[in-house]
Amino acid sequence: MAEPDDHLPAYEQDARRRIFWSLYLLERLAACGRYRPPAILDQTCSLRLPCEDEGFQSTRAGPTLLDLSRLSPGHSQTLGPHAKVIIAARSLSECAQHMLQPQYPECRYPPWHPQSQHAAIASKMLLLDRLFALSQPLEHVLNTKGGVLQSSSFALLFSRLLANLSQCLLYHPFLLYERVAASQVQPPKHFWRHARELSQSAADDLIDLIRTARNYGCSLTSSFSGYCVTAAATIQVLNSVSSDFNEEHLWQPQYLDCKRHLEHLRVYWPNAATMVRYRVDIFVVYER
Amino acid sequence: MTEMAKTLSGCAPLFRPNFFKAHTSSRLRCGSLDQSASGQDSLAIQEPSASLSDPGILTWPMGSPHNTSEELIGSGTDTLMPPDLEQPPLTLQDPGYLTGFDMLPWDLHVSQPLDDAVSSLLSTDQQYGLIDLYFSHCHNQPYGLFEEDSFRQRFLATKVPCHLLLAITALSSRFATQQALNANPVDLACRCADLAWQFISPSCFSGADSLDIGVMQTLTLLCIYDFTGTFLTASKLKFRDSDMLDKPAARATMPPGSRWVSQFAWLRSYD
Repeated sequence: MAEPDDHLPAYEQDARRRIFWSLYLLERLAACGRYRPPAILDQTCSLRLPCEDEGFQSTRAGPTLLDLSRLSPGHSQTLGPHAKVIIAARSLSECAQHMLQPQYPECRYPPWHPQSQHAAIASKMLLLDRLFALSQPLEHVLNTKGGVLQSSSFALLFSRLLANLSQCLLYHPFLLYERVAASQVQPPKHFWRHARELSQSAADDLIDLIRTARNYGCSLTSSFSGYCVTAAATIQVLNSVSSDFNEEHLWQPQYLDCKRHLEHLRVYWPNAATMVRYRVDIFVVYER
Repeated sequence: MTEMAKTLSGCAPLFRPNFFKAHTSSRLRCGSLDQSASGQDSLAIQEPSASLSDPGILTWPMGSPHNTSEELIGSGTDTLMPPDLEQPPLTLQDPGYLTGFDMLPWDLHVSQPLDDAVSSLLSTDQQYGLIDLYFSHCHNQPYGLFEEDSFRQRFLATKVPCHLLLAITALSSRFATQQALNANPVDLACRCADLAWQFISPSCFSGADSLDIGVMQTLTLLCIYDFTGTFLTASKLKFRDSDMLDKPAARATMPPGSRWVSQFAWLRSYD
């Protein structure tokens, strides 16, 4: 997929870019399931990312996906909210392909091995963390005018949501257990504790994001937010059975926030109702 | 005041002349106001039509012009009016069309029969409400195809292709109430999507080298509509078979029926 014609007006060039990147995004999100590999190859996307200007008027489009590896954290300012969503979706897809698909023959190293694909993805996630400045509080990066959240902030919220979901999938207790079991190697002593802390942190961040957005009056009604919240909720519950996290006050508020969000979504999305219904098998045990 | 503004002012209470001034702020403020008014926790769940008091009035959930209170839309004076539509329309030969968003080159043809089809499905008030719902519930979550202000101006100027309007309606109608639409939102969404697809499918499969950008936007929205909240449908095959991309037909569409899925159901619940 190549750049649009230079002779087209800047806004039309960006409108065309956004069409392709929307489809790319759609496909990457659609691939977050079993047996659903993405069809669009990153190396074939020489199209630049959307510009940062919400008015589509900027003549400075973002970098290409291939340029990102050479992008320093200082250049993250040049990335617009939509570009960040696409980058986060690419990372999410990579995590989902690794964690959700059956074990590939080339995955011969266990997750804790420095040469494993898991370690490589985890390293990329750290780079994404720096590129997006995820450590910065959400309130500091949201674009508000007169106390009102601006349209571009929705995209920014989603970029963080997808980045957090990537971490959730990468360290999800259930998925990681399956991957370790497939390797048939005994994990190191502190591996599970480390993985549990990372998954818990990612799930907490994801739920905090939903809560913060809600406090700003921003209702995330995308059906995909249900997927994100369900992943975070299952981490909360699975971690709660461990000796370190079994205190109810540590996980119950987060779990209830997840449940509220899904209940909110089910008004609009039948699949959110499905999520609630299927989760019962897991959650009802802990609700008693 | 233009004829359009007069027409719009007659659409109360669903639509007000300065609605487009207030839409950006009202979209989010309405939600927060509703929450504070209810005195409930910020995460309290509210039904879309919870504030419906008069069943005779079309009502939209959060973000609707109907929900806009007087303090949100200002003092009631028309300080920002829709663009003057009495000016002669620009043509492709006018250099001015490149300078603004009130008219874009791909908007210059709108098929009349499709206009009629849209009118038979939705009243003008309903179209306004559904566009408002699109920008409050769908836009930038996370797909951002349009620039909101320019799109609204183009809509006021009736320069948005009807198939694009139908696709937007298909996405946003699930956020409306049945009472507001006088129809089941899901059924209406399905009808709008099918109708939009009927109108653009000849273009998509004509074998032309390039597609009109409005058609591509419509097709993208229909793909999003089909993917979100639905199982694999015939429309997903349209995405697969479409010539817009470099043949994404290689995308696997195997049903999720593995033991993994049965063990861990949330993976399936997203399909």
